[in-house]
Amino acid sequence: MLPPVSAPAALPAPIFDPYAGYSEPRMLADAAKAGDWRAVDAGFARLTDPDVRHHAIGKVANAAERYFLEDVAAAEPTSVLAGTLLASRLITDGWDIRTGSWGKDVSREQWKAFSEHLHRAEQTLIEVTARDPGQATAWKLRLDIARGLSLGQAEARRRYDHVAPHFLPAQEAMVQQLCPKWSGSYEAMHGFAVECVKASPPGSPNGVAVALAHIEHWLLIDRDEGGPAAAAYLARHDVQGELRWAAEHSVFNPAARPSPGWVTGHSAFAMAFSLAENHAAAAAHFNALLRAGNYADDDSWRYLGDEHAEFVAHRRRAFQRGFSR
Amino acid sequence: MIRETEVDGVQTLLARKSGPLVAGLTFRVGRADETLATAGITHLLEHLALHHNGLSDYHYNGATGSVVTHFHMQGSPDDIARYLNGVCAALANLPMARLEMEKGILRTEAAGRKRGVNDSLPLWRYGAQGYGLVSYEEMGLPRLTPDDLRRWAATWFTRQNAVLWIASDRVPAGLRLHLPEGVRRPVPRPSSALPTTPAYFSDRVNGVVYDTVVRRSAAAQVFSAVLEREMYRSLRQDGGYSYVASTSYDPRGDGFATVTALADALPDKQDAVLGGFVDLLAKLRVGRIDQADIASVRTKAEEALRHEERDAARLPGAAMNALTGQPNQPGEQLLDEIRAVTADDVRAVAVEATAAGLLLVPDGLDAEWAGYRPAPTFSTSAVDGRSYGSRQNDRLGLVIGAEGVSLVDGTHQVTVRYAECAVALAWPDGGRHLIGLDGIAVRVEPTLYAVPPDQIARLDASVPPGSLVWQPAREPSAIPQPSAGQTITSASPAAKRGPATTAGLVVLIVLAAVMGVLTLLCGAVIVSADPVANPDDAILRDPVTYTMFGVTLAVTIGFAVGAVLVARRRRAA
Repeated sequence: MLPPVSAPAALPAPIFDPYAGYSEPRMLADAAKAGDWRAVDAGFARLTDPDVRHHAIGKVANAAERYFLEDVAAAEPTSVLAGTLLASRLITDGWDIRTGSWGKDVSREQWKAFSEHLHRAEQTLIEVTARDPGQATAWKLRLDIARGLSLGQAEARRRYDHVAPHFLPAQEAMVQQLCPKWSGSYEAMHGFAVECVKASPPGSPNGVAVALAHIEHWLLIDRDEGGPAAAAYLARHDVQGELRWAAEHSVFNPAARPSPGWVTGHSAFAMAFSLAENHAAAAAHFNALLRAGNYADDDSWRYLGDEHAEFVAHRRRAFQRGFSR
Repeated sequence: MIRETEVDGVQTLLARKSGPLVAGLTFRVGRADETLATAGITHLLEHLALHHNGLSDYHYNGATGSVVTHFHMQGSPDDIARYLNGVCAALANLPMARLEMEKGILRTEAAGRKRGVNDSLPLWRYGAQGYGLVSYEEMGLPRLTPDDLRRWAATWFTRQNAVLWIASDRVPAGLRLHLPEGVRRPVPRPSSALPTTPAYFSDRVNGVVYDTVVRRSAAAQVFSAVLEREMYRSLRQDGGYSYVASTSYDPRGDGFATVTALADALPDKQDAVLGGFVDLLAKLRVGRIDQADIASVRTKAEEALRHEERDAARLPGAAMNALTGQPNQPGEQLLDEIRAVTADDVRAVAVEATAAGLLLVPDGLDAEWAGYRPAPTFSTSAVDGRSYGSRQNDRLGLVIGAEGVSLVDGTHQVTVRYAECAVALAWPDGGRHLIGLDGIAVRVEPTLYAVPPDQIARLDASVPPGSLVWQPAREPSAIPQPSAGQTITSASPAAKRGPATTAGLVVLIVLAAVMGVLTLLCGAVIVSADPVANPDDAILRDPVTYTMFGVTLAVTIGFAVGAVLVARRRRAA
């Protein structure tokens, strides 16, 4: 393990973008903003890494003007890229209308607009996956739609089964799908997460599925029983053991290499251990991120409110208490 | 090669075949030519025409389809001549003495008929008219009179509206087709109960049923077969969601054909069957069609059409083609057409099929996300008129007006306008059940709404002549009584209380009674035992005896609780 960094108070703020080191997604987003479809299309043709491609699709879809994506999709009805970009944007816009609130707090009008956006996205993606069933991002987006529209657990699993193995974004979507707030169960969610880890090659970032499942579990206990009960859940001996096992199989495995997925993994493990007040374990993950360029993924940290401030505060606390012994 | 000739002015198709002789007389009439208020008249006529044949040892039958009715048989040339001469004679002089008896037989036949999961699709696509009538029971039977039947026979069962087909190269000697003069009747124009397609509706099904209407062609036939292979592979072999996955291709008689697809669902896999079906249809629509599938369909067609007796096997279909004005191509030409079908042709049919699709999904699921619009289950407007409140639901009201009747609940309404009323079933207790041409139904039950008798009489006088069909008096238990939670029901046929539940209840009550008597006897023996006076009675106060008493008592209680539960469920249904 890497030695701790001294003077924790003076740490620079992390770069909350695991893909900050990649220039292509940024360039593609700029081209899309400028309305240059040829450059976007040609740029994506060069992106072969499925994770980077997936990230780029989301970034481009959100950066471009929506009418630009609609025009391109209409002009090129057989383009899987144009369809996927438009669908990705429709899902984001739909979810923005719905907001991330608990289902009971969403108004009728919000539900209607949300459904309409998701229906449109889904019908676009049905065409995309029919043309090219190997489009991992399209299937992952269809998993998000299945969850948003409550299309059913077997249907979600059917969609997941079309994704190439070990595609982390789809596994994250499946953990969400299987958690009780989306009509799943704790058993199904944790079972799935453990399977993801067992099936993945050592050193791959897929161990994070276990951390994400425990964070979802924590969130529901926090809502229903309050913070202390939720923290006590994460601190349970078996939960801690499973988190350590998953971390050692993935981000802390000797075969692991820094990558955006690796950043996502450490960020989620750090959160789970920190919420459990296992400061030493949390500090180890925070430290790995810091040593690898001070990158972080704020995704799961959003559950805590101001995700950037929370990350920094938890990191400070972990370094102070975790390394003081 | 199918050869054409004429027998007594009836168009005749001949094709040779070895083995026993097969022949048939086919008329261009079927259920799609009826109305809901005469539904069953063709079938009843077919039964009356065959009655004189009695129980003989040769194989004959009749079949009433959507647009054609067949009388066919297998036997010696003499048998065939006798059979068909008899059918013509009976059509000319129907055995009306048998009328009520045959109506009863048809009702029994209908009660025993197993309803298929795809039976309701025509109703939703076409409404309660034309091609949609096959979804309905033979509701017209009670009101059909001898005159109705004679008129029906004179209109449809004529020399010009018939085709004779014989699997032989010669016409049996002695065959005489004495049929009245008439005209060849065109097939009905399809009606529509769907404002837009693709559309969907939901019902209690375990799986997904789909049908669509496409132009009749070799490519459409190949599409149907390719769809079946795709369903089998994707839903059964790869997904493991379904056991049954099949399609059928049925020419409608007007240059179009219906393609029906059916996939059942293993428990908990219904949503995945729906998703998988939507995706495999999209796969064909974008043209990702397996060449091996097309090749396999072609091979099958070649086997079927190369068969030495292929023409004889095609005779019933050829008779329908002749009657509906569709071309009858030589077998070799049909084969050439199938051989010429490309993946792109199949893709084009898939596009056409998708646009006209009607999907039936299990209750609780929808298909809007996949681009299917909900098929109408409510009317767009209510009639003006006097409103009668429901005796059990404050929000529900029955409106009887000059133009029709409506049920309204503030949010939705179902309306049957008299001008578009397909049938008004009438019971002596005042109950009326109106079904509109669009398939939407309104039940007028005086037990549920405070409707005065003069309003019922007004309703009876307002429906189109001939659409009022009187029903036998209902059992008191069959007359609806006010209960909480009554709501507007949709066009979907209501679930019925099954006879199986009743049988189960009776069995449970009998078992509970038998065990109860045993328990009492056992108890009486224990109580009456007197071990002091009679040493032999000591065994009756043994723990084994008490255990036996306990067991019989427990079993009695078990059966009784079971009976109560079944009875409750039965009432709830």
